[in-house]
This record gives sequence, C-alpha cells and structure tokens, in this order.
Amino acid sequence: MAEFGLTTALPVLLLLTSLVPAAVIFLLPEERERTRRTINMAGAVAKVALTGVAIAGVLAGIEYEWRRTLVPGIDLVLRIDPIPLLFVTLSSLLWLTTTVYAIGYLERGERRSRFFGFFSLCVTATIGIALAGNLVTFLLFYELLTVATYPLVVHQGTRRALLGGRAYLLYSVTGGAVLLVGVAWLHALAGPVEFLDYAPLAGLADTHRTALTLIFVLLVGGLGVKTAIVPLHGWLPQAMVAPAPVSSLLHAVAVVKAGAYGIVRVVYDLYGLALVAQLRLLVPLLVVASVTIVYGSLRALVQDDLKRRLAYSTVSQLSYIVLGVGIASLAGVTGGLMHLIHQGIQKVTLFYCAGTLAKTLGVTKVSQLDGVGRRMPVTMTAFTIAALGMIGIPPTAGFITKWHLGLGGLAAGQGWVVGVLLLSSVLNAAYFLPAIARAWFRRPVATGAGPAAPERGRERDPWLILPGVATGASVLVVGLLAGAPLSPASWAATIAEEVVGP
Amino acid sequence: MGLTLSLLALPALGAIATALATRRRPALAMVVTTATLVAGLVHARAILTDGAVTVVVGTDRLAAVLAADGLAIGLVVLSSAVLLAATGFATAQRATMGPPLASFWPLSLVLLTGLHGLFLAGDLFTAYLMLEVVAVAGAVLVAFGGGHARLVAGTRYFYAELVASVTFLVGTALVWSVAGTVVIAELPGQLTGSTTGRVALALLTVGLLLKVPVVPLHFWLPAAHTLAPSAVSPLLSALVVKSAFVVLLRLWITGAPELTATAVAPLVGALGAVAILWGGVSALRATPVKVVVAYSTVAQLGLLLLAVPMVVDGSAEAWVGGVVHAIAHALPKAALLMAVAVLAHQLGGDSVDHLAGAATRRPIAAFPIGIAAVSLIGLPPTGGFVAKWYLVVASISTGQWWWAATIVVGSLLTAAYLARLLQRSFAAVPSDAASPRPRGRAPDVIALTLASAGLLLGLYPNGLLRLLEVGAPLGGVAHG
Repeated sequence: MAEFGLTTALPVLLLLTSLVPAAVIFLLPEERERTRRTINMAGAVAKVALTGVAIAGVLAGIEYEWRRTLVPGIDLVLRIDPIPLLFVTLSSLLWLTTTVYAIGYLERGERRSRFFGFFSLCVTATIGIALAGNLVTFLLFYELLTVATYPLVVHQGTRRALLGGRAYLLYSVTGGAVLLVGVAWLHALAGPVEFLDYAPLAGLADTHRTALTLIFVLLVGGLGVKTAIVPLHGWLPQAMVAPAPVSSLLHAVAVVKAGAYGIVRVVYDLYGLALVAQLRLLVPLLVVASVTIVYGSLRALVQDDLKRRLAYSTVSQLSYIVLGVGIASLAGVTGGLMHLIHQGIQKVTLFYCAGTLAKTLGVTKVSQLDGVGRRMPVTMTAFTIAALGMIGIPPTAGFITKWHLGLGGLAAGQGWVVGVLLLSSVLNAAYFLPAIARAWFRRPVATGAGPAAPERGRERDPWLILPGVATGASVLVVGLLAGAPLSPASWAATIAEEVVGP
Repeated sequence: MGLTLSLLALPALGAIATALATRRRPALAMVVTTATLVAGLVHARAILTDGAVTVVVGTDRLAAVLAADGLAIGLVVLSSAVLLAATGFATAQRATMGPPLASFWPLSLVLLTGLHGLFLAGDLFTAYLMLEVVAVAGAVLVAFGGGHARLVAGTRYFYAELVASVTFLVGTALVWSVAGTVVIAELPGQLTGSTTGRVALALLTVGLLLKVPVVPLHFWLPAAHTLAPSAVSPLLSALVVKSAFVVLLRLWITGAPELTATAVAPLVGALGAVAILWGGVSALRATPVKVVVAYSTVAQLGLLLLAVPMVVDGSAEAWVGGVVHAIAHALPKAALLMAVAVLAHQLGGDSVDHLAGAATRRPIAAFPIGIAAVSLIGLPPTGGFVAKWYLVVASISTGQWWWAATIVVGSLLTAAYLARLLQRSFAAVPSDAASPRPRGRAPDVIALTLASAGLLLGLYPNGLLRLLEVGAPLGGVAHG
C-alpha cells in the first residue's frame, strides 16, 4: 500500500467525519443534548472543510485515491474524481444544513440518539457511494444506505410510518438484489472493472453485445428503484410519512440522488457514453425518463397533501438527471449533471419549508395554505423561490438546467425532448403556482388547523428557519452566477467535455 | 499431530471435568472452551504457514484419519467461539432466567468434541462415531430443559438422528466391502463403478441429508430448535446443522469427484432451492419468533446445498461461497437467537407481536437483530454478502443462472420475514406495555458481539478466505 499521506487519507477522512459521529452518538445517552449537538455540528462542518480541501486539491491536479483489497481480485476503492466531487459537495453542504434543521425540528425525547446515529450513518453511506471507484464499492455503500435509512423512515413508529418503511425496504432490497446480479455478471464477464477505465467493456462490445445490454438493464433497473423511475417509484410517496429532515435526506441529499448518481456513473464512467450509444440504449433511457417526468407531474397535480405533492414532484424532477444522461450532446450532459445539484438545493428547500409549516402552523395540506405567506413570510419566500426553480423560471437554478437540457436535445437530434420539457414546465407550474398563490394572496383562515401560535415570533427559531433561507438563496445565487467559475453549471460543463469527448 | 488431537482432547477432558466438578462449573467450562479456541487459532496459524495436515491415529486399516485442512480448522475455531459465547450467555442469564441444569456444561462440551471430530473426520467410520456423539449430546440438550413438549421434540430429534445414523452406518459398511477402505481421500474412482458402490453413496447421502436436514426431511428441526433452551438453540442452529454438510461436501468432492457427469448433483441443488423457498415461506407465516428463526435456518441450509452442483462442476467460487456461508451464517444466527431469547423474556412473550417497540425499550438487545438481519439477507458489508457474492458469480460463470435467480428470491424472502421482526421492533411502544423485567447487560452484549463479528467478517474476509484455501479441493479463488 502506498505511503500514508493526504492523497490516500482524504477520501477516508471524508467518510470518517460522519462515521465517527454516528458511532459516538449511538453510545450517547438520550439526555446528552449538548454533546450530541456539538458532535453533529463538528462532523458536518469538518466534512464541508474537507470538501473544500478536496476541491482545491483536484483543481491543482492532485489525485486522491484510497484502495484496499477486500477479497482476492476485488478492491475497495475510494477516488475523488470530478463527478464524485460534484456529489460530495452537494451532500456535505446539504448535510450541514439538514443537521441544523433536524436539531431544530426534532422534539426532546424523540429518540434523538437513534435518529442522529442513523442520520450520520446515512450520510457516510452517501459519501461512500459518491467516492466509490468501482461497482463493488458502490454496491457496498448503496446497500448500507438502504439499511441506514430504514430506521429513519419508520422513526415515528406509527402504523403509516411502518407501512412506508416496509415499502421502502422491500423496494430497495429488491433493487439492490437486481443490482447485485448485474454487478456479479459484469464481474464474471469482464473481471474487476473500475470506473473511468473503459477498455475492458469496449473490448467486449462486439462479442458480448447481448450480455452487455442485459447487464445494463439490470444495473439501471436496480438503480432505478432508488431513482424512483416509473414504475419503480411506488415507495417514494409512501416514505414521505417520515419526519421532514428525513424527507430532505431521501429526496435531495442521499437516497434518490444515490440512484440517479449511480445511473450517471454507469453510463458515463463505466460503459462510457459512446458504448451506450453503440448498444442503442440511449433512446430507451430517454423514453423512460420522459414518461417518468410527465407521469410524476400528473400525479403531483392531484395531491392535496403537501409532502405527497412534493414527493411526486421528486419523481418527476429526478428524471431530468436521467434525461440528461440520455442526451448525447455537450449541453445535454451538462444539464443532467448540474441538475444533480440544482434538484438537491431546490427540493431540500421545499421540504424544509413544508416541515416548518407543519411544525409551526400544523399546515400539511395544500388546501390549508391560505394566507400562510403573511404568517410566515421568510419561510414562504424560500418556498416560492424553490418552487419557481422547479418550474424553471429565470433566473433560478432550475431554469439553467432546463435551458441546457433543451439545447442539448436539439443538438443531439432529439427535438421532442423540448416538448417534454415544456409540457413538464406547464405541469410544474400547474401544481406549484396555485399553492403559492393561496399562500400569498388569500386571507389567512381563522380556523387554521394546528396550534394557535401567537402571530409574532413564529419564525424565531434559527435552527428551523436558517437552513431554508440558505438553500433558498442558493437557488437564486446558483442561477444568477451560472457562468461563474466553480458554479455547478460551469463545473458540469467542464465534466461534460470529458464525457462527450472530442 | 498433538495440536490436532488437542482439539478433541481438550473439550472431551473438559466435559469429564465439568461433570465431576461440584462447583464452579461455568468458570471451568469457560476456561476449557477458551483453551480450545486458542488451540484452534494456533492450529490455523500453523496450517497457514505449513499447509494442511493429515493425522492418522492407530495403525492398519482401522486407523482413524483426521484431515486438518482450512475448512476443518475454520469450522473448529468457529464452533469454539460460538460455544464460548453460548457458555457466557448461559452463565449471564442465570440471574434472570433461572439456572440451567448442571448438565449443560458437560453436555455442551461433549457436543463440541463431536463437532470438532466431524469437521476433522477424514474417514467415514470416524465420521459415523462423531455423528453419534453429536446426535446424543444434541438430543439431550434439547430435552433437558424439562417438560413434555421438550421431551417429545428431543425424542423426535433423536429418532431422526438414529435413522440417519443407521443409514449412514450401512452405507459405510458397503463402502468398506467395495473399496476395502473408509478413508475418504482413498475413495475416488472406487464407488461409482459398481452398483453396491452407488448404493453405498446413495445411503450415505440420504443419511447426511436427513441430518443436515434438507427439505423434505426437515420435519424435526423447527420443534427441536425452538423448544431447546435459549443457550442451546444457537449451538444447534449455528453449528450442528453445518456438521453433516461438511461430511457431505467431503464425501462428494473428495471421495467421488467423478460424479461430475451425473444428474445427482443438480438434484441436490434442487433440494436446496426447495428448502430456500419452503423455509422462507414458512418463516413468513410463523408467529413465534423462534419458529421464524428456525425456518430461516431451514432456508439458509438450502443455500449450502445450492452450492453443490456448481462445486461438482469445478467452480472454485461456488466452493468458497458455500463454505464461507457455512461459517458466516453461524454468527448472525447465534446472535439472533440469543437476542430474541432475551427480548422474549424481558418483553413477556415469544410472538412477533411481543417485539413491539423493542428498539425503543431495549435498544441494545434489539440492535443485534438488525445487524444479524443485514448479514442473513446477505447485504454488504457482512460475511453473508461475501458468500452470496461468490455463489452468484459462480452461478453466472458456470452458466447455471437459475441458482442465481433462486439466491435472489431467497434473499428477498429473508428480507421479508426478517422485516417482520424489524417492523415490530421499530413500532411505537404500546401504551399497555409492562415495563421490561430487570436484567443484566451481559447477554445483550454477547449477542451484539457475535452479530458484529459477522459484520467484521464482511469487512475483513481475506484471512478467512486464505485459511479456507489451505487444502481446498478446487484451489482458492485468488488463483482461480
């Protein structure tokens, strides 16, 4: 093994900044509130700092890699490449904000030790997924994510929570099993294959076309469960019974993102865009993504439960990433990659706000939103910005995504994609704008459900409010500064040039 | 030679000592088991550097042959470790669950002697003797808790074992008449040529399948494993069921490697597949937690048999997958049985519903259930995953993809029936729940340790794989 320096240690340290807090928090008695808070925050801040170090290092051309032989012929590999760095940055920043939010959200005595223990474990798995240098390492953390998230989904222990948890577990374990078969088949066929090493598979393209196609279907099918691709999405709306911080984790930071990220890795870094195109798999991917985008939006339209509406919105929005993967042009790849970030910050904002509304005003349905804008202006402003981003109105982050995807579709000769994007934007507007309009333009209902809180001082708890403000603002900043260096958009553009090739 | 024999002598002497001792039996049993464990580890080190050893005790054609290869020593270390945990568990529980009968200590050491003998057995006659030792000790351990139901279960268990033993003995005698030897390593090519030889092979196989047990010969298992005292069930489910499988593996792979071309191996695999599905579905439907776990054992044993047709096909991956599973399954299964025993006692009942809120009320006892579930489903990073990985890869590379499909369905069934336990554990604490009975933490910690060991096996499987490679019939996966 190479000498122990920062180049090997950094990927491991990125994991340890949440793994160690997880272990310590599990052992911590329930009532040690302060200590737990300190450990949580220290871990989250340390991870963001380390991410900064990684960005600086990668820009300076340093290659970070940690490697250990698991069993003969199979290595565990953690590497910081450009695409992983994109995902790590998203997760570590949103982990920080979500930790703050969760500390504000959970009541005393709500089994916080267990919650934050699994919460940290969840993020550890996500970072592992991001940094995985081959499929086996990816699979390991992918399954760990399933296991670590389950206790969070069922956290409340109610009947609905348990049913949601069961759906989540059975869908995910099935997806994981399908993925395992794909990974094992690939291993049997081509031996150990690492990401960004295209030679082994390209060499098989002529002789094992069918096998490669079937393996691709298994891999994407397995990953499609977490990505909530229709018809594998059934668990996601059910899992929204989880507490709001968990929903943020599921919908933006970790779970669904891990699935979409996996598809990105399989297409760009395992098969390579050229091979997938050669196997004629891009168009099927586009079709599946388009169906999911439209179907998710249509279902979102008829949900009165706010979180459920947001859940179907996730089903739809997540497939923008898959759509980008299927568009073989510079702009298309750029659009898909940047949406990894854009969808994350937009959706996390929406869930923070939905959680805050439910907690402060008892509002959980769209039909209860009347006048909420006046009662909680800060929260609703953040919500509105994020929703406008989802619709794709300039200058939000979501607009930049749709712009690139549309251009990409035209450039790749798939003009119909623009139609899908327009239709989806109309639908997005149809399910977000009425909700926003209610909140700002209708009078508050005197008989509002929930606790009769005083009119002033509702938005005083900084732990609950600031995360949404920060991520909401970032939706605007990221959109306005899309052309600046290091913005998600220009970062994605740089990667896209590598992916598409000369 | 002395080292190999000590693996039998230490527990045998320990059994006598604990039987004769009038006090401090638990401490004595712990010391003996620890010493056996250390001897096993030293032996493992020795064969890792010097290769497998064959020890011949006695002279002439009646000599007993002990084959100390990686598989045998791996299982020896495993069984000493699990017995150590079970002994600790039995000792720690005395405060809350009443003292186990004094005969637990000597009997469990007799059982350990028999298990070690079976794992090491290089000839069929030694194997027969050790099968008897295990059967007698096992049946008495099931029944000794007292009560009519246990007596019935223990007796049925003993009868099943007896039929199996007799079948095995007749097979052994026939082998002797055909080949003039019962040393397994000298058998290749001698059995499949004649009708008598083939009948002998069939009898030996049926006897062993009954002992494993394999569906449809599993009828005695659920009652025996469920009613056995809580320190005994882990020994039965984690260890005893593996012993007959090892003999089967040796008989087929070492003794009759020419079986490749026959249809018998796929038949054994098919029995395994049926066991996986039948056991899984039965576990889904069972109400008492221990019955769920017992059917889980039936299903997991099917996974072992599933490896046989691929091993016979010459797949080193399948061999590794099978034997890693034999070892990896033991740790979470023992942990699971201990954890559910503790919870059943503390929460006042043994049905799945009694687990309601266990994760909140007794987190340290409930945690092993979670870790064990991850292992048994075969999710990474656990020993169960390593086994499943090799079996799936073997199935694909030998072109026998239907085994991979069965394994996947089996994992999903496992997830489904273990999810029932997890679902209840994570449920809100029932309002009418009585406060849990007081108890020490030691049993929880022992279960947690075993479950964690299963996890570590998945993170650091290399040592185990290297050990299993020593004297392996098909070579290891490293150079395969």
